[in-house]
Formats: sequence, structure tokens, C-alpha cells
Amino acid sequence: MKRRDFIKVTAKGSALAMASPIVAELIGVCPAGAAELEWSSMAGADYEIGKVLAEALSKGGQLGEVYLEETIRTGIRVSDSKIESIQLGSDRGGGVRVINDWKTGYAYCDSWESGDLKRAAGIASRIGKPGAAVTQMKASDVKAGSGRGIASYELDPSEVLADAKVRVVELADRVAREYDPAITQVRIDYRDEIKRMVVFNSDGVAVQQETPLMWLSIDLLASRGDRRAPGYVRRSAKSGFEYATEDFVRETAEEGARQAVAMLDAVDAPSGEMPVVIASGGGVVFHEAMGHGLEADGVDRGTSFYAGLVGEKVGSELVTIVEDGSIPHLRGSFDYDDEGTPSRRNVLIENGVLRGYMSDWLTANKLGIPLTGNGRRQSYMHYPLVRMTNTLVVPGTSDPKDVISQTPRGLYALRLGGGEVDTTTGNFTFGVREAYLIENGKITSPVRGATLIGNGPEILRRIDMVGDDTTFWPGTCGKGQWVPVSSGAPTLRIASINVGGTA
Amino acid sequence: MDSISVAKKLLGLIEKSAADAGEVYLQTTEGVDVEVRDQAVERLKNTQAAGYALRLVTGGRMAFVSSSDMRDESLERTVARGVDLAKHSTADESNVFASPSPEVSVETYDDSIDNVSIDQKVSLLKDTETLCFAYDPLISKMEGVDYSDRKTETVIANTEGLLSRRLSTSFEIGAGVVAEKNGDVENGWEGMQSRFFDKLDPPSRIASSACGKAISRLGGLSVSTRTVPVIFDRSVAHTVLAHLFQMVSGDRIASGTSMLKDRIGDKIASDLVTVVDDATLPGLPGSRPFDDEGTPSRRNVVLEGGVLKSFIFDIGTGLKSGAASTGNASRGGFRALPGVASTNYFLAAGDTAPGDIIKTTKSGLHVTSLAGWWVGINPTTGDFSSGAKGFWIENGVVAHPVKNVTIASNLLAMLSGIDAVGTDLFHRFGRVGPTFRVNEMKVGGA
Repeated sequence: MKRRDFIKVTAKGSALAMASPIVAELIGVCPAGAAELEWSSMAGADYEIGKVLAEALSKGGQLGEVYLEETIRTGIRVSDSKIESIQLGSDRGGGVRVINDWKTGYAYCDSWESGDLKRAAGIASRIGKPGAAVTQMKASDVKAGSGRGIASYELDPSEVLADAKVRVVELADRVAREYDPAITQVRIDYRDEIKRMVVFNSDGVAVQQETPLMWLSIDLLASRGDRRAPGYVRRSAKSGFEYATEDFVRETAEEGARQAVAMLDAVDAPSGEMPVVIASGGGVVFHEAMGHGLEADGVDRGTSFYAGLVGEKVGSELVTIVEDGSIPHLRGSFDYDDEGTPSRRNVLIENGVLRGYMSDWLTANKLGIPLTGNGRRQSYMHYPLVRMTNTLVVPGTSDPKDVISQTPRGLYALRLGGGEVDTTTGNFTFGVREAYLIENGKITSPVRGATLIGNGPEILRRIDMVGDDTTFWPGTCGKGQWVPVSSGAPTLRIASINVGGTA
Repeated sequence: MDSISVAKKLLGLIEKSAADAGEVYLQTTEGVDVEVRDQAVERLKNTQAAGYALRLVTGGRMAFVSSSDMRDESLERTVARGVDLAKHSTADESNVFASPSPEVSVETYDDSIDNVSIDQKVSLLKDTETLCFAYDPLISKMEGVDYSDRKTETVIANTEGLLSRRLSTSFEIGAGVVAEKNGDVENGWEGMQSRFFDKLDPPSRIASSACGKAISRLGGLSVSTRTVPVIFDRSVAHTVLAHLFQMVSGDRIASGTSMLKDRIGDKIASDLVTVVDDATLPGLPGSRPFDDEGTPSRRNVVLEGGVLKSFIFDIGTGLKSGAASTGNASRGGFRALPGVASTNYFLAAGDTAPGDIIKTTKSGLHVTSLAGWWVGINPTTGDFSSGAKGFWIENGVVAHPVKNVTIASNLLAMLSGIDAVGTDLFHRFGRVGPTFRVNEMKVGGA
């Protein structure tokens, strides 16, 4: 299937010149037999983006920005082998942002009509002050198409017939149930999305991109006698429907079922301070415990525990933490962030030394730090904030087997649950879905109900072994707005951390 | 075009389509979000949104389609798409819509939404910020002071003949502060939601509560692992209620995954425990005349004197469980599928003054903050564990602040072990409770 440019900008070379409105036109090419889409309703619309930006900056300001978005989502939920819900949502809207004196004004509308956008711009402009300096608008070519291929796709999920998606969930349900007779309940959540966005600003940024997103998660319950144990697995990627191969669906369902069955024999988790080995894929610890503290907005407010520590040693020298929104197809990846900055690899902590922060337009300019491509928003209804993309601990040198065998006693956290952090203090808590005791360097009984409680900066110093097997786990990060992220880590050991358990 | 007309138009399109039955849910929202920092507006966001969702049934199969595009051709396309999509679903007898029923009157609208100026909202926040810094020199930073308000019009219409409209307002204020002393850093937050502007806590109360929390946490110590009585401050009472809600929610009753599914009429908690969900109370955050399927609101007693009285249902989960909807269908905006949710859901006030609960505790933990509690609740087993902060109580008085501990137990053990319930119930949010004490929980420390 041929990728299509969904907006063609015809005002070449002077896209943001105030006097020459941008004329955007949709080219909707739907392959025969595919679901008909509503992008074509855009055709012929006349986007006077320059005029909208002029209205936005009419009371002064450092930055004017227009963000347009169209998103189509499908979701299927299966419970008890029945399709409990099937849904389709389509949204179109635009948001106008004005930054003046580092203050943000934002307004949005549920349309792309220039009249509605101008009205939103008028509201957003109120953050400006009469007499404030108006940024000189710079012209730029629109970066046509997504271009970089970081979130490229073969099959636009919105053009794939519902039948094919139903086959995915049916296969997942069957594979999970056939895995073991103990599997008594299976709930499946399938979601796909295609988001098309355009962002223009008075700095001359003019970017358009389309980003697909796929999600499959499975919640299971295993029962044996009066014992019950939950299992959970999720997979997600910035890919098209080609992601959902039969092998992929089987592997996902088997992994969820394996976990539920394994946890049937779980005993109560121990509590107290102990060494914890976090299995490969446990990057959520670093997302929560360090990542949020390295977002430049908290640094700007002085509320982050990492404020003012660039160049300082903040952790074990075994630890290098990187933020990288440019890794192809990961859940937190994209070509450009929601302010139009290209995604890239940013080293946050290198061998234990703090190297820099994540930024968006406002914090980068205000603090005089590099623009890192971390300006993200949930949708056109939200202004950008500094957000993570894919946060990872780079592989170390230890063999994961040695990390376990060299731990006489402790907890092996194979699959982590969700977590939260207080970025002021660095204190974090997260759950462990699947954990085992380590006794005499060997993995023994599964344990349930374990919670890890610690302090981010402190834990970073206590990492004493780092494996060479970094893998990623997809997540959705909340900070008043939700954005898709992933986090990656190798097998690693925290010399001592507080485990909250019931035993 | 007004919302009723759009809803009727959509209903007309559904009636002309191949759908056997259908429902229109249409929502229009406007409001502002303001954040103040250093006595100036840091962020100002204007919300003006409208959209609709349809549930369409053909041959017992249901599809859900939503769109923010209100243009005529889009309405037609959405209906057509929904009818097509429904074919892929599984037929289910519980795919039915609400019948028209007499209206319930609930106070949910405050016309000051149109009269309070943006300057008044901003000065509310400026005052709060000033009062926070004036509270104590230990208050070193603000995490932020925020205000938001919304005016929401909701119209629900269906092919059973139901056509209902409700208009509501909501107001919210919150402040987060940081206290520092000798390198120790703690934060505190206070906030409130109401359907009435003048019912919001004044800046002085928000500020003193947030600052008091932060300062009182300074100098916290861990304690060694032990089993002791745990007092839940009213600011954390909602955590245990959330855990209970998972087990009485129609989702888990209908799917058979709640450990309480066969326990109606059983005593599962101490005599002191009465839990209610009531959307008919005037002006509270969860108040509304009818739910998001159009079922009239009512008062539902979940637990009374420790006896399990009722579960919480929407139409679908009720039908699957042989019960009627309790008026608890809710949607997180028009884009979201309706599901079972609580409204004004609370642990009823008891008769012990909160101070007396502390005074009568020989040795125990008074918890004022829980971190990651939602991670540590296991609805299958009832296990509950969480990171906690608070105060150590020795011989009825505060010995020292406590941090870096965990508390753990099982929900049913906790409910049965509640041996004191405070008088201090205050509907600050939708889910609240007074201070209460659990006779014993595992406290895990260093």
C-alpha cells in the first residue's frame, strides 16, 4: 500500500509569510475495498494559518503556534470469548498556543475551520500584554510527509477491515485458553490508531506527520482449587496493522497465560529491605524514579531533586540512562514531537553523571538548554509539556544469569506493575506483577503482592550489577495528560530496597 | 444548532438506518484551566468542546462510534459506520437502553459560572499562593496553584423514547507546596471539587491545609516492621473505598470475578461501616439527576452496619447479574464507552471525634499519605499494600513523623477490623470518608 501525503501545502517557500495564506489540500486515496474514511472532507479547505498566527500574537508574545490533528481509533474488547465492545472514534481539531514572557495561553476548537481557529487564537492571545514585543515571524518550508520513517507503516489500521482485527482478538483468546486448563478468564483489549498532525509556529516550524499506533493487552485469571492468580501482558508499537502477525499474537497470549499459571503457586511476598534483581524490561523504575525528575519543567520550578546537578555524580557508574524518541517503532517513538522538533537520542545520565534534561520549546528557551524533542501533548485539546518518549538504561556487561547466581537472597522482580513518583522527593512506589524469591543464588517460589518502595536518587546509587540484555515495555504516562511511552532496562540488581509485602 | 436538535437529528438517522435500536450521547463543554505562579498567570487554557457518541444495535450486536465532527455529512457517515461495525460484535441480551422514567431533581448548576470573571479566578489563586508562602518560612516552593471550571450540557436520547438533558457546572481548586528544613524536603497538597463556586474551600483553608501537611511531614523516620493499629486520615480514606468499589462494581459482579459476588446479606465489615453511593445529594462533585445511560439517580447503600446490601450497576452489568441499574453508568467524556463508576461514594460518618481516635491508640500509625496504593490493590485476592507516610502514635499522642514505610493487609480483614470511625466526613471530592482506624495492619519498615 502506498503511503499517502495527507496534506499538500501549496504555498511553497513562504508557508508562514503573513500575507500568503497556506492552502492545504487533502489527497484521500482509499484502496478499493478498504473502509471509507473521512479525511476527504478536508479537501478544498483553505487554511489561513498565517492569519491565525497573527491573531495569536496580536497582543505580543514569544511564540505563536497552531496545531491541527485528526485521529481515527478502533478498539475491540473481548471478555468470556465474546466481543464485549467494538468502537470507532474520529476526532478533528486544532489548538492555538501563545507563549509570552514564558507564560502559556491555549485554546482549541473541534474543527479546522479558519474562523474557529482565529477565535481560539484570540482567546490564547490573552496571555500576551499590550505593548509586548511581537516575534518576527519566520517563513519555512513544510517538512513534507513524515520523512524520517521512525513510525512508518505498511497497513494503515484505519483502512483495515474490522474482520481482520476481530481475527486478532479471537486468536489471542484461543491461544490463551489453550495454554493451560487453569486459565479461566481472558479479557483482551485491542486498540489501533492513526493520528495525522500538522504544527506551525512563528519560529518557522512547519511539520506534518502521520503516526500509527497499535496495542494489544490481555488480562487473565488462572484458577486451581480455591487459588486464583492474575496474569497480564501488553504489547504496543508505532506500527501499522502489519504488527499483528499470527506469531506476535500467539507469543503475547502465551506470555500472559504463562504468568497467570506461574503465579497460582505464589506465596505472600516478604517485606523489609532486601536485594532486588529487576529482570530485563523493568525500565519503568527508571521512568518513574529518575525520568520525571529530569523533565526540565520541574527543573525550572526548582521542584525537581535533580535541579542544578548537571555534571554531578548522581548514581552508580554502572548506570547510563538515555531518552530516545527516534528508535524505530517503539511505543514512545515519532519523527517529530508535538511542537515539530525532530526526535533524537539524549543522554541523561552517563556512567552515573548527570548530563542534561529533557526539554520542550518553553523550557529549552527559558533555561538556555538544548531542544531535545520531548514536547508532547495528548491531543489538540492539550498544550505541550515536557514528556518522556522511550527511556532506557543502556546494556551493561554482566551476564543476566550471573546477576541472579551472585545474589544469595533477595527478590527477583520478573514483571513490574504500574508505579508513581513524587518528583520533589524522588520517592517512588510500584507494584510487581510477577516476582520470585532468590535463595542461594537460585530463583525459587513465586510471590504475590510485592511492592517496591524507594527513593530514586538513592536507588540509582545502589545499583551494583547491570546485565547486557536491555528490552522494552510499553506504557502510558500520565502528567495531567496521557502519552504513549516505553521504558527499557537490562537485568540489574539494586543492592537494597524496601519491599512491601504481607508475609 | 442546539444540542437537543442535533440529538433528534441523529436519532432520526438511526431510526432510518438498519439499526434495531440506538442511543445518542451528546456533550458540550466549556471552561477554563488557570495556573498561577509568582503572582502571575503561568498557564491559561480555554476549553470549548462538543461531540457525540452513538451506541447502535443490530441483531443484538452493539457498536460504539464517536466523533467531534458535527457537520451533517459526518453525522450520516458515523451512523452508517456504526451500523456496519455492529455486525462484528457478539450478540448480547444486555445490549439495551434506558426507558423513559420520571425525572429526579438534583442541584448541579451554579449560574455564577457565567458571572465569575477570569480576574476573580486568578486572584483566588494569587491569594492562595500568597497565603502559602506566608504560612511558614519553611514553605520554600510552590508546586503550583490551579483552578478549573466547566459548564457541561449532556443530552441522551434513545430509540426507547428517552430524551433527557442535564446542565451542570463543576469547579476545582488545588495547591501544592514544598517545605524544606535542614535538607529534608516534603510536599503537601490540598484541593477541592464542587458543583458550586462558593462552596469551594477559601484560599486560607486550601493554603493552611497544604502547608500543614508538608511541614508536619518534615523529619520523618522509618519504623521497624511490625503489626499495629493503623489510622487512615480522612485525606486517604478514599483508597480503601476505591478498593471496595472494585469488588462491588457491576463489572466484576457480572463477570464473576469479585470475591463478594455471592455475599449480599452477609456481614463483611464491622458494625461501624456504612458505605453509600448517592448522586442525588445537592451540589457535590458526583451529583447528577440521571446517569450516562439516562437512568435516574438514586441513593444506593452498599454496606450498612457492616452488612453487604447492594452492588453498583449500569444497565448491562445489572441485566447480566439479574438486577436493575443503580444509576451508575458513567463516561469519561463522549469519546469513552460507558461503564460502571461511583458518583458521591463515601464511608458514612461515625460518632468518634478524630482526635479521640488518636488519643485511644496506644501504639500505631496515623497514615496521612499513601503512594502507589492503586498499584498495590489486587481485586482478585483483596490484597492491599502501599507506601505510606504519617505519624507514629505512642500512648495516644504523636511521637514523630513517619516515612518510608509500607502498610499491607487484605480488604476484608481491614473492613472487619475497623474499630473507630470519625465524625469528620467532608465531601471534598467524589470519593471520601472520615478518619477511621483499622485494628491491625502490617507496617513494613527498614
